[in-house]
Amino acid sequence: MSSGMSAVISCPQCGSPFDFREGSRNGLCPSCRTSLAVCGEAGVARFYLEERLDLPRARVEARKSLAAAGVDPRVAEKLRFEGGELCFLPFWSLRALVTGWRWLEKEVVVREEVVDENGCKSVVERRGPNEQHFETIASPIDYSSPAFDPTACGLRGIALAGAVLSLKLMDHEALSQCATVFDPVKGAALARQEALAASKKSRPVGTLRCMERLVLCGERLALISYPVWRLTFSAGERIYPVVVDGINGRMLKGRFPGPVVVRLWQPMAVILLLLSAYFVHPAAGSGAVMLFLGWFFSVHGTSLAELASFFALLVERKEDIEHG
Amino acid sequence: MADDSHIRIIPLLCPECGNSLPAGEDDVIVFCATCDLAFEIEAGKLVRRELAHLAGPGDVRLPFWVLPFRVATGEGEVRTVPEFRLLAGMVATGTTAERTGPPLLFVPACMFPSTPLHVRAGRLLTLQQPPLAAGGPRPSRIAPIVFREADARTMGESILLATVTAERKKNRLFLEGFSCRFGKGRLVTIPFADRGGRLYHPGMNLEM
Repeated sequence: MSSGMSAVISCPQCGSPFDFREGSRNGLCPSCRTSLAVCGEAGVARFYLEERLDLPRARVEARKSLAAAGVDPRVAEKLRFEGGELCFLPFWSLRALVTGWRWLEKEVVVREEVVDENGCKSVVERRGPNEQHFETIASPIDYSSPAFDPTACGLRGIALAGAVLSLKLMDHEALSQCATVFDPVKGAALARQEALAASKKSRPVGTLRCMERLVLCGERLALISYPVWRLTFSAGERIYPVVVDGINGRMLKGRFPGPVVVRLWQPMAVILLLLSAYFVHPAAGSGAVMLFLGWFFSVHGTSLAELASFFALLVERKEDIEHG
Repeated sequence: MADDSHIRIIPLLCPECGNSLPAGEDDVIVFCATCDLAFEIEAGKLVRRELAHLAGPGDVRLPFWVLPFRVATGEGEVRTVPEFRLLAGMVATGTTAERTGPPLLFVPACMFPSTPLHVRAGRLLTLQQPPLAAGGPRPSRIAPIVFREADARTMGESILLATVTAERKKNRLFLEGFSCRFGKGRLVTIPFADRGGRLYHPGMNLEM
């Protein structure tokens, strides 16, 4: 999460809008010069990023993304949009000072030069007494993590968009009337644990035992909701979901019909081979048929439907394409 | 999760005189220059806080949370200043009169340019155990107070351990048995001279 994110708020004294930096505790109204403190429920301020794409534009962006995702242009032309829903997905933003300590016990390898009875020198490695280290830890942390299940939409971070765009104060009721606002499923306590885990340093090579205690001080916690469009395409009888970034139109996640493959060569070659064998001699033709059936059933199984589709279904659709 | 997501925007006005209180982006304590009072912003309310200014000359005053503490280790309990000096591995010279009562932990309430300096400042003052004789004039320049008393308590263990001798801290059993308890904290400002970016306290011979 960038520390440069700012939100537009209105001064309760004079009503003027002004920029408020996300993560700050206080701001100053430039119009009436009143200092203002911003307080969220239970210490958590909620903001959201306004969407920059409307539904038609999101659909255009989704269709553009199809080519990049490898969807057959003929299939893409036949896709029809079924619906579209604007969703706001919550992210935790946590800034704090991590303090604590770490104790390590490391094994030590001692190298000794030894001289044998012939006067030859060699270096021998042996294990020395273990070394103990203690260090005090104090470092700032700026952590962001999804407060929802990110696998559902493919969105993992909001740093870039947040650094460029202004945040808005969250009005859950008003926003819910025009979009689906997701509430966080991951609590603040878990976000704190994750932030602490992310701030832990890797253990040096040769560490035998480690004890550490880390805590967060002076934390600034906020929930920031990010806009995405959930669209659906239909192709034939199937519905295909697509998630499009509501800020930059990037396709985050989607499933599309696979490319269509026309199989002409293989069945035609088999038919020609069998016919020419019959022209040579009927017995050779029968043998060729038996050989072909033996090969086919060993490869595709003993299904007559498979055999029929081998000759009849010359147009084949590959598996759906998953993106994100 | 509750879906109540209202944000409150509170004008920072002095409860006594009604003047606007100047506040930095991260300040948790604001001052009224007219009434000479300090207020802590707690859950959208301004709560009055006592602030003591230690006497002495200086260009800038650094705020510290001062918390009386007790430490329990596998070797015993530390309740007094001499016992704390032993824990910290300091030799008692006997030249200065020891302050009676529990030892005091000093935790910076302002943000230092680097976080190691933050711990170092707390460690040096805690080792010094300076007397808290307030009486300094109302300072014109106090570094912004960005840490609350709760933050100071959270940071307390790290700073206390930073004062302990290195040999003790290498002992795992010592660390396992180490625990500390803090009493009610008070906020004091200590004057420092600005010497080209380094802060110096002549009385305590302290430089950071």
